[in-house]
Amino acid sequence: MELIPILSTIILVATMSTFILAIGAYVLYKVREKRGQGVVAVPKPASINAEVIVPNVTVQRQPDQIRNTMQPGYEQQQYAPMPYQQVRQGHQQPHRFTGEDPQYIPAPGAGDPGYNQQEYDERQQDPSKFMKYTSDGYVPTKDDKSKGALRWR
Amino acid sequence: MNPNVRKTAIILDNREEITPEQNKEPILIRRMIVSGVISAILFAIIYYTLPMTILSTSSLFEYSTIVALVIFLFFLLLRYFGILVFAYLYANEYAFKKENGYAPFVSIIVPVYNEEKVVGDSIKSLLKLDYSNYEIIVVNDGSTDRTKDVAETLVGFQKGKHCDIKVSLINKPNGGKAKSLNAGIKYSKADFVLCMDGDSTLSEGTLKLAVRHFVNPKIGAVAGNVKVINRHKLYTDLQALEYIEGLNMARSAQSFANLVNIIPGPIGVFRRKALQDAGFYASDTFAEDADLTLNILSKGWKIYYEPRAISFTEAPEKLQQLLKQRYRWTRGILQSLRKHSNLMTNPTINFGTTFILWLMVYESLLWPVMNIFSNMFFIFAALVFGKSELIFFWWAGLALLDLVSALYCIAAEKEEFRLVFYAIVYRMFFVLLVDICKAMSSLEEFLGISMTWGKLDRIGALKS
Repeated sequence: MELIPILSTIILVATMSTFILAIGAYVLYKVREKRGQGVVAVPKPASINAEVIVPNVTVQRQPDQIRNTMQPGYEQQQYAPMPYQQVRQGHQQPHRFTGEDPQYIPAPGAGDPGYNQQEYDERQQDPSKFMKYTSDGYVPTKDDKSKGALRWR
Repeated sequence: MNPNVRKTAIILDNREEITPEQNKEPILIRRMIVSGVISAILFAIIYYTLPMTILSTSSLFEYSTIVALVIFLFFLLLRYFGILVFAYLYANEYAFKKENGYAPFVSIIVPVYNEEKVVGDSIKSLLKLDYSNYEIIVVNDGSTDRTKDVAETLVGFQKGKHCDIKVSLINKPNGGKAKSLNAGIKYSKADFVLCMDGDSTLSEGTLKLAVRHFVNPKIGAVAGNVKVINRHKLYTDLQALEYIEGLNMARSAQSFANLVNIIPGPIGVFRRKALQDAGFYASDTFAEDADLTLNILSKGWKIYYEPRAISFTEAPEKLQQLLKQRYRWTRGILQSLRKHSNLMTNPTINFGTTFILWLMVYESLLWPVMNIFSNMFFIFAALVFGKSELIFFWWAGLALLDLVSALYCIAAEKEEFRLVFYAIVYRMFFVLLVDICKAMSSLEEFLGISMTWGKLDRIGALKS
């Protein structure tokens, strides 16, 4: 038995029935709507009176509802302004160590695994630190300036 | 009177927007005459030029139908694959969106009109939201049942998931959903508002997930995902599939370009600035959500789609109710399109909006007409020429396309697998039914026949 002719007939009947159903239901809907209409439109005022009902406790508004703009568990992304005094100290006055806020000034090379404190101290005390190295060895920079074609002014 | 609540009298702005012109009698007659004259001219051109071609009168029908069907098929495939590709690209992009923790204060506006069965459960569901920074404003639009009493019992600081949530109520005379939402938005002091329907409930993560996109200052609104709650009936199951396959997938594709064309009424989160730019909700169309969305887009704001911000809503269970809903949607969208016709004809103002408007014309006007005519052609071919197998192949092709599309969408949204099988009857029955309603509604809109708001009957499915 051929399947396509049977299916074709079923679909043809279904489509035709849908057409009839849709048009019939639409006409019926319009008839019902027509019966329901009978209200005469009246001009509406420019403003109307209404009432608002709110909780009586107006002072106890949740602080979270006003200030917090982040979900719990997330850090606030908006930066709060620094206090005025703190800003002034930072820009207009020399910073004084009061002993309350400990300061740590790292030594040059601190954190470097090849750093040696003894070598650093020796280098600081080395008399040749401020001498110039030439083909004659270390010479004081003052002597070096007096020689040569280029004169220092 | 309840001592825990305070009542204050307020005055609301009730000025009407410009009255829709289509409801005036002379426009109806003028349009009938103009369309009649144009049709007569076209017919005369065909009649006089036909002998000059190789076509005979009988073959004209066949050729023109074949050409029309090929064009229809071309657009159908273009639409399907276009939407699928862009929806896939959007899904890829969405997968890398992180939760940034942005949580500004949000007002949830719940307009209600004769929702006594569901308003209590709707508000209680809002108290379970996984968000700590929001309030609820219920706007009772002059309900004639016990909605006001039910809502009044919920006014106060209610226990929420993270903190106490303030619930307020505005009682106003009946004026429509747009005016109710405007009343709530204008009363709220929040920079972001979530507008929803009184008969809807939101999923727990809705606010948290939707609001995070506003970190981007160009985003003016975020559209949510609407799901049918009252399932396990033929019409509601078909609508559930339609929402997933027809609406959400298209919204995902549009969201890839941040150009969502309709923020659904049951869930939309807005930046107050964008609402102010758009002029808030207007009452001069019957699809205030579509109108507002187009207004926001036309002002240069971007709109994103958040698939995990879910609103569960009741779908019409009866055919009459379904037709009433679709009638209002279609005419409302056409009214919105007419309001923005200047943007349709001038792409230099905002190209994205122009593109979206033409897409809406295609979806709401051209597509239904094409679908109806193709089905009529196959019925005609079967009855007159005995070519009944043509309709089978037509149905098989479309059903296969729908099946694949439904599979993808249902997998993407982790939805009920059983809905896939409805794709077999979806195109031939449901889509045809809705398209006939759309075509009739479009005709009525074109002729300017007056219409009224229709209130859908609620069964209280949200309680379940």
